[in-house]
Amino acid sequence: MTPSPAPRRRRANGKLLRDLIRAREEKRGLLVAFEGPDGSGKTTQRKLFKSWLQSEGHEVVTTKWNSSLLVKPLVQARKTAHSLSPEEFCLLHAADFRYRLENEILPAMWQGKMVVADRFLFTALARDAARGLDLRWLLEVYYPLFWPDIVFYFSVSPETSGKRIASTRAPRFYEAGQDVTNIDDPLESYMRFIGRVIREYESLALIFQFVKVDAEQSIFDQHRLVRGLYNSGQRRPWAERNQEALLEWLNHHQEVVEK
Amino acid sequence: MTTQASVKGQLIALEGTGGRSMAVATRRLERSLRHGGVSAGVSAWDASDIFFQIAGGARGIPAPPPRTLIHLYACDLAFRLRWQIRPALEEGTTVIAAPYVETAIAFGRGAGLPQSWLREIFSFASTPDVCYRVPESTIPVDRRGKPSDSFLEFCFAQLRNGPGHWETEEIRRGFHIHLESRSRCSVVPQLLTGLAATVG
Repeated sequence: MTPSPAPRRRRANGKLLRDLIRAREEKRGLLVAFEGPDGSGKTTQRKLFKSWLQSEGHEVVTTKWNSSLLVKPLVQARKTAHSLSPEEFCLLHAADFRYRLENEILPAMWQGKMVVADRFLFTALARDAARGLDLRWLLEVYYPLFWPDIVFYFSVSPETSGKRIASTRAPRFYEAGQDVTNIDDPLESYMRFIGRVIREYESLALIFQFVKVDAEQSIFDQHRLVRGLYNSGQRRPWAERNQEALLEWLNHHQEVVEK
Repeated sequence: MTTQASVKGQLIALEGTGGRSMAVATRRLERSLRHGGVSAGVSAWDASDIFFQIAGGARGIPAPPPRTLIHLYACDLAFRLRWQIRPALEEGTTVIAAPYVETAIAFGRGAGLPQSWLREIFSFASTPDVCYRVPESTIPVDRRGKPSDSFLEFCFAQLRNGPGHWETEEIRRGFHIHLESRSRCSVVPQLLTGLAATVG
């Protein structure tokens, strides 16, 4: 059988690109992800962390969950209409993630900017698994996985999460998992669903070695802890975990290679 | 395929570059099935309007990479399976899915994505009872379809916008290599004239 041309060319470029990734190691920016259930306070901590990095002289880019100009409008319209099945919900978010990874996150890191992610692919793994989808299939959907340098996981109990959300507003339809719980009351549904999401998060925290932060502490204590953990964290070479995703991206972005 | 006129609720996949050739083959197959007394319906690309909405809203922003396009196609297919294909099959209607899974896999292979990954993404989709590929060779280039009526042409139009460098003709070649030699689809010589005789 004749091999198709694209993989053949990729193999030829492989060594050059791997050398390029190694050479970029010292100049590249880091990716720090903030994960946790709704109401865990991760957005507050992400903002504080970003301000602190900027005060230290870093150029910082923030990327938020489901925020791409391409996919966000599609997701919003379908969420409003309550028309997404768990598979469709998963695949649209995966489309958004891959789009942001290749068009926002990787270019920024390559240029030496720090990237702070308000939720990362682990959000999808936890929520979609809580919706009953198979974790093995979910990992394929997000393949090749791209590992952040650090994942801060803000851990709260379902009760605290529910209280914090309910103090400001009613949970939204998909946030409350009403598509899978079939419970009419948003808060009741949320309390059932968030318990499942947190269980999935706790498993992921072990598998992916999240840095766990007790989100029941005061905002200041958490921030101080995040800074300390960030400073003491060990930097892993890109090639160790992310080579496949990087090669795929670089292979079609000659402008990066040529620079 | 061992079918009789009385057997209903089959899933027939028509795969190819889309556009006019696909539309003609689909129409003729549907008509032939109906003439043969088989209740038949069609499930076409972008029933969920995802690609239509992207085409309308994505001007001036970076193009989606192939994996994103595959995710979007899979999402549209999940929608079609939920609202069109499975309900019709359950009612005993024969469904012509044009296109179905192999078209997306052929695009992904042309773009250099691993077959195992592509197959896994579409593992939620039922295996069709029969899969045909619609030949393109007889269709003039200017009649192959616009980005608005073909997944493949939509993808090419997106990829040409950059920022990545994608050789769309190379992807097209890879697409055909996959469909012709590596997919599970066969071409039926009488596709556009008497296909119904072979399926119903």
